[in-house]
Amino acid sequence: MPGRGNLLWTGFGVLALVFLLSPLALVVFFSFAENQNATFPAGGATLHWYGVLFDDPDFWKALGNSAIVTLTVGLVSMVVGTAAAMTLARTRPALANALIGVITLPIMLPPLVLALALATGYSSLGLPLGLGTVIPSHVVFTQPFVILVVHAQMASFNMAVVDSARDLGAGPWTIFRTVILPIIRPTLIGATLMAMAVSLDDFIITYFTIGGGMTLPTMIWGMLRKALDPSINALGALVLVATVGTSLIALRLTRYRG
Amino acid sequence: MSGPLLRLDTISKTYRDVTAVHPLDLEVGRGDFLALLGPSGCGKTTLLRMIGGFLPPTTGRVEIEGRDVTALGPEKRNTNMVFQGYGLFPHMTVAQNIGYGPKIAGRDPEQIDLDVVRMLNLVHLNAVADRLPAALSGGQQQRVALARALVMRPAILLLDEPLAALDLKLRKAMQDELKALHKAIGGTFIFVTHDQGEAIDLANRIVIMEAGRIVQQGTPEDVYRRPASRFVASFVGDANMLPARRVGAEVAIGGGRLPAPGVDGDVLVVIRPDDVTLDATCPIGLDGTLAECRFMGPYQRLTVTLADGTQVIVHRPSGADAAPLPGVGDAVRLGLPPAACSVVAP
Ligand SMILES: Nc1ncnc2c1ncn2[C@@H]1O[C@H](COP(=O)(O)OP(=O)(O)O)[C@@H](O)[C@H]1O
Ligand SMILES: [Mg+2]
Repeated sequence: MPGRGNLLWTGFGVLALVFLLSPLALVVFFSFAENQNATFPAGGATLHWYGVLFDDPDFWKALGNSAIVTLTVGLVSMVVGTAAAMTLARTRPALANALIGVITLPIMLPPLVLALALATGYSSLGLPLGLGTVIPSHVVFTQPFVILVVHAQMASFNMAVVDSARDLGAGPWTIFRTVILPIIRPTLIGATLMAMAVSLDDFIITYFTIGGGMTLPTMIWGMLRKALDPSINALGALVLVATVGTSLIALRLTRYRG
Repeated sequence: MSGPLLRLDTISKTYRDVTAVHPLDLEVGRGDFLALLGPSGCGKTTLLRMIGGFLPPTTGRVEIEGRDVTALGPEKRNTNMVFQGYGLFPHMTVAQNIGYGPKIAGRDPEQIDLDVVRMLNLVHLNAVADRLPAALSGGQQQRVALARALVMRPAILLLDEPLAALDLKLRKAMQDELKALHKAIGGTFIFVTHDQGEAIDLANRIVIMEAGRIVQQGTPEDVYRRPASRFVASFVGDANMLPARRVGAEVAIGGGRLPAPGVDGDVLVVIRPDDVTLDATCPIGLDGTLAECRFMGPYQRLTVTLADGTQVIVHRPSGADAAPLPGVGDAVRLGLPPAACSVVAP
């Protein structure tokens, strides 16, 4: 009976989704709930916790830091990732695959190991920890996304288009600007947003490399260690919306093949 | 200027361990419509890309208008190419595609607009000027690629299998259009094709390549009527090849003699099916039996089996005034006009 089998699978799927998503839903739910302790009964709906959060100067500091890190990391990953992908596209396949293996190593490593390695590296170089160390650390594990996605597109890129542009008198930079870039732009923006989403909600690497400062995820960590304050749910909900939002846009854009 | 427009001097290309083009010389005159003809993999594209500057030759020199351009890239050569698959810019409209080269060249914007319109008129694309390439038919894309190259007023237009992607009917129409275009602008075209019919129809000169070498060049009539080798004979058009022997610079066949300078030994006598007659008065005659007769529309295709088992194909016009045919199984005598026979190595 295929009907019953289907029903079973559907039921199982729904359960799995509920299980996976319910903590997220609870965070959002309690960010609007009156109950001090974030337990049921929740009480009425309120924006009180968002108010508390917005009154906290630490929040604005963390938000500012997160914005600086995310935007810089996005920009740098985009430029570095694209340049690397363009170079790889011109390298012979065997070597290119080997290089991709090395470049993508940071996302294969356990984040804790990577964080430890970076922190040790900075301290042995005598670099003071801060945003200046967080940003390159993030780039180490965000640029593989850009490289992989852009390289995949370049592999299927119609090189006759590049030959045509050359034939019509364009130099390498003009070809990149007027032909390659417009064609890969949606992919590039998608990959950059993906890198930004990963950077925005990173905790471990940031925690190990930021020293005394705070970004939104490390602020959440700090709040968790103090009294349970429901404004943490408001903050969580905001980070959730920002990350999921950028990821969704990124997915849409990278799936687009112009 | 005197001298050829394009001169290739002992040009060759070796990729790692494969020699795609063996050292060869070639001259192309102003106004030529030259076909590089040969089977797939014989090095046509490689040769064309060396002329266009996309591939550095392994040996030799490329001269255009008397100037050595061997070291120059395509952006610095007075040539333009229509690529296999066209390579149109997918994010630009037809007009923007055509205007790309002039814009890079820094032509005056008003002049560019005029040039683009002139090109759109030339290739009949005014109605689709604002469309993206993806919204065009194969034939229209082909014409955009042509216009985009021609707007640069190249000394030589290079075309790589320009019609291969089109269906048969469109291909015929585009052949006519290409010929008209060549006439209208009076340029020099070099195109690559593996289709001998296309080469014969379009070109005023055909260069036949086999395994990276030029094996014959001449007018379409030259290469068709006087093939220099067995390969050319079988590659260009249909050919009957009759084994014979050369003795003392002569080949004896069917009671006649063909003058054929060369060393003594086995040879093949080549004759086209449309040159073979049923005329018994011909000085060279071969006796055989009519094995098959097929109606092909404009002509009839007869298969005649000779005494030694060799089959000879004969094409006869099937018009109303064509002479009545013998029946299948009847004895026939084939006439081979000596002027239509070529002698090649076996
Ligand atoms: N980039 C390349 N690297 C190695 N071999 C190549 C390359 N391009 C072409 N070849 C080889 O050179 C020969 C001629 O190729 P090509 O010029 O494309 O022939 P054609 O256009 O007549 O089909 C072929 O054997 C092909 O495999
Ligand atoms: Mg080719």
